[in-house]
Amino acid sequence: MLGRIFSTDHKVIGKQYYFLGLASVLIGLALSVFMRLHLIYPDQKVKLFEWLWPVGAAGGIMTPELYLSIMTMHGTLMVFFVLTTVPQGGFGNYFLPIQIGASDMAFPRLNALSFWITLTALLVLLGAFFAPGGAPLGGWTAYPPLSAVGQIAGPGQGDGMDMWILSVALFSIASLLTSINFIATVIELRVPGMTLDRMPLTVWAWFTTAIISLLAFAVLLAAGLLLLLDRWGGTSFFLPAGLVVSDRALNHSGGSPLLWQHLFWFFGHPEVYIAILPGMGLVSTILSVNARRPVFGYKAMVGAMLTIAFLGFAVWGHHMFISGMSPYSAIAFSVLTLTVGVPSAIKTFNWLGTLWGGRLRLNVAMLFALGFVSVFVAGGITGVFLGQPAMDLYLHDTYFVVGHFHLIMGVAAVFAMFAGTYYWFPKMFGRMMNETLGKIHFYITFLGVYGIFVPMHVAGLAGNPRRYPDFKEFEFLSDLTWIHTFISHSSFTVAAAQLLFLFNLFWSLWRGARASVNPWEATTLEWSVPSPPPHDNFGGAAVTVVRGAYEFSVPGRESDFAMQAGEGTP
Amino acid sequence: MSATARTLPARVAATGAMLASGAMVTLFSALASALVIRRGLGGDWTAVALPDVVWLNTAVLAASGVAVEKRRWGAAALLGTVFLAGQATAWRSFTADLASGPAAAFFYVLTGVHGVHVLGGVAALLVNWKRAAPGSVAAMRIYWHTLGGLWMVVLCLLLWARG
Amino acid sequence: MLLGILIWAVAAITAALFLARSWFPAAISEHARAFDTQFHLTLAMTGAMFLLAQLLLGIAILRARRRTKAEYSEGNTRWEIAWTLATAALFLGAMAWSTPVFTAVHLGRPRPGALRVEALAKQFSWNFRYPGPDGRYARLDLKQINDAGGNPFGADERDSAGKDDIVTAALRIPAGRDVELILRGRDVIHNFFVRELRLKQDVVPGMLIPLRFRADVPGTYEVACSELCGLGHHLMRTVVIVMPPGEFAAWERDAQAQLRQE
Ligand code: HEM
Ligand SMILES: [Cu+2]
Ligand SMILES: [Cu+2]
Repeated sequence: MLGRIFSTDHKVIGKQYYFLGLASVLIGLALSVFMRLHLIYPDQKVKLFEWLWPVGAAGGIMTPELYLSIMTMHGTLMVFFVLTTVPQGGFGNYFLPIQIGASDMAFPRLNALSFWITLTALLVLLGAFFAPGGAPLGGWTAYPPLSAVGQIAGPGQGDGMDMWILSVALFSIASLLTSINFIATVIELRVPGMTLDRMPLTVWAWFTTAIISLLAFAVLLAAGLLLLLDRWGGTSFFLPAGLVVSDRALNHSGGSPLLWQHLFWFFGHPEVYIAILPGMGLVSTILSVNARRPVFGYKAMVGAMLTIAFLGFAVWGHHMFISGMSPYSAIAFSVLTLTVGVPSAIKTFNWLGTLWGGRLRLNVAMLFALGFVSVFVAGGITGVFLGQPAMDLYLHDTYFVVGHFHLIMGVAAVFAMFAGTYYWFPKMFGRMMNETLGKIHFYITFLGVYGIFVPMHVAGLAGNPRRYPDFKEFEFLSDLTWIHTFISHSSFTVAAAQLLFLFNLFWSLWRGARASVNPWEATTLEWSVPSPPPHDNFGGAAVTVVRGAYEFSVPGRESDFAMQAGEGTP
Repeated sequence: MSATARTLPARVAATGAMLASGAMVTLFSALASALVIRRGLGGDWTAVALPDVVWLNTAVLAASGVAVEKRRWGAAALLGTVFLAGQATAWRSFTADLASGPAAAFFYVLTGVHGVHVLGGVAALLVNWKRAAPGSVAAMRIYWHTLGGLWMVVLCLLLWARG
Repeated sequence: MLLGILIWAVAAITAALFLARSWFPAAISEHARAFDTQFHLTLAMTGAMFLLAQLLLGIAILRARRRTKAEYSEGNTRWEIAWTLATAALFLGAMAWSTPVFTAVHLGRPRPGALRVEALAKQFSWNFRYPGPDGRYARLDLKQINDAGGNPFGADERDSAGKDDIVTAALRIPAGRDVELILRGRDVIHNFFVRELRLKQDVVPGMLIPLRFRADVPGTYEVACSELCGLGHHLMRTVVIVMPPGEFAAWERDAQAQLRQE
């Protein structure tokens, strides 16, 4: 029993990450529903709030500080424990070794250690809700001085903030260990025949993502350490002289709040690619499998991913156009930002190219992959506004931004996770998920997320600032009530639709139809081994790879797909 | 737990250690750029004197590197421990405290973060004291020499940051 | 099948929503009007790309079952080069086009005779001070900060330069004259955002950040803090009152008279 829980089998660890992410996304989703509920009924007494937060919601009315805490926790959970965890730690762990023919990761024990550190990080983060003063309220970006001066800046900024920093630091360490493992695995453990140009795009994506993580999380760790020292050691890395907070003069001098922003976003922008690249790899594969066509422009797809990873480290300043940074840097960052938009556009065109002459099989995984392309375009295109400093002079920190990043980072990545779940569930658990329930789940979710996040853009155009616990103080915001009402109701619908998914998931775990080895007629190595795969994946057989990952409908062949695995692979 | 029993091929372990070194270099680069930017903000940079014992520590760390090259794991661990003790002495004899100014703060941060990594290295050396698998040999060398190299970088930064 | 049609519907509704009305409030400065032009230019370009992509996606889905076998193709280098160059040109073109709108705000010099005002942001309110006829502000002394006593800046009582400084809670400015607003913070980061001016600037403690603008339409406009500053962030409101020049001069005179009485 203990051996199974503390297993070093990458497949067990992959499932552990998946379920950790599932728990996090459910909490994060519940928190978002609470926020949307409060935003449209700020004066409504809600028993549930009082039951959950006897202090923060005494009498059932959410205080502004509780709203901001919930918002901070929602963002942190979603970014770190869902988007960084499920696509990489979950699916990556489970399928990366199999897809390159390995029997496990390069460092199985390190892999298990990463998971347990991640779980600890999650528990520490959630523990912040129970800290005196509650969870931190500074947002997932934790800008100092708000995050650096302690409880005088706000109730959650005491112990809650410390727990947040600790959690993020632990998470960074775990991510560093994971990325070392992923990169070493791809470099060292590919079986004969698995040349770089035969690697599935999922493998390329996990590999590229791991490289980004390796560089980005080290910087976040450094920044977190300096922030802790400003809080506890009396240093002044981020704190300037002359601070007077809550009528108290603080004894700091010479630091700069912008230094944190530079360090944070040097991590933070690459982080969005950590969230989305694995999804891009998976969607490329699912589109190809279900259009029965090779990926259009495989080389360009790989090149675009590497370009994104590389340029992604040079655009962090677009989060700081209005921060007081030099206008000359702003222009340089702007040029780089719009340049990094180009490889993303290339990917979109190539997905369309993959679909164009295809014979589509519209199963649920495919629906989510197609939905991914749609929301990726919708969310990505608004980046062309935000990348221009001139436009950001108005749009920064409005709901336009909230709409933008939810579509491109949140919804797109979540769609990829759903696609991955419907696609790989048969392999992971040996059973099929229910397609009809899945389709209902997809259609409601697809329409619902547009219903939530597109109206947010126009609220932003009207100037609606983000991170506001209610909209009562401003005249111009009271005109936008109807938009927020619509958004909230869409979000309740989307949240409810996720119950269908949960039901489908758990019901199929025990009751789903038995899955065959290769239900989707796909070509990559995991579809050559039993569902679920045996302990060491290939039963000790000598695996060889004889062709690329996407040989579909090759003229002159009888079957419309050809497996990557050569003779002798089980 | 059967998969863990297999021993690591040397190449895989070396790759892992290279990657870990990459992460460490990035961590120190982040701290170094924070130092450079922070100093550029000007104003409150006050001079601090670097304790002399760091030179002795540098020599000890260099010796430990030689011991690692000679596969004397026990000796290397011992020298690593002496280095850490020397760094502790440096902390104690350092005249400025953490909050006294940015130069002092960076002294503690850089030496502290470096020390934590040395501590990890010493632990790994001790695990391998008796009998090191080929994988560990390759990995230990890379890890330990990266720490040595980083120490030189830290030392240069501290000399520059002194005042 | 259904999905193709839904994608079209969603794209059409999105476009309609963006175009339904002008979501921006009326522009009250030259910069604001330049902003609007640039915004609509970008909107036309991105809107076209958005609709085109969704249209093609919908078509690909609707044609899904028309054929019995997929056409084999691994890509088309010529097309790929073409669309790469086209997007690069469009994206960077938009960027280049919009740069003057940004630089005019941040690199332009105020014209002579500009009104100088200092803004102070703190949890959770705004204050402004005018240097008065002598053109000089009182020097600051943190120990003398007294919010209740009307000295949020901490102006040094002993400095005679401060005798004629006017401190207010709302920002009054004359129409048609350049304003140079110096943003000053004392606790956490805040943000000065006036929708009608299409301007937004963080207020960072430890920095004095200038913001230059010239409003030309008299009226009262809301200022909303737009950088999370704590539990009262959403309450951090003030207004900019743009006055006809004569009225502004009269207000300044009255304020000075009142100062002398005290
Ligand atoms: C139905 C799903 C979701 C809804 C209804 C929702 C709603 C919200 C709301 C209301 C806010 C606060 C906005 C504000 O007050 O300014 C927010 C913030 C945020 N959300 Fe979501 N969200 C959802 C899913 C996600 C997902 C999947 C992600 C993953 C990326 C995500 C990431 C974030 C982040 C990073 C923030 C910013 C937090 C901050 O400002 O510090 N959300 N969301
Ligand atoms: Cu970014
Ligand atoms: Cu605020």
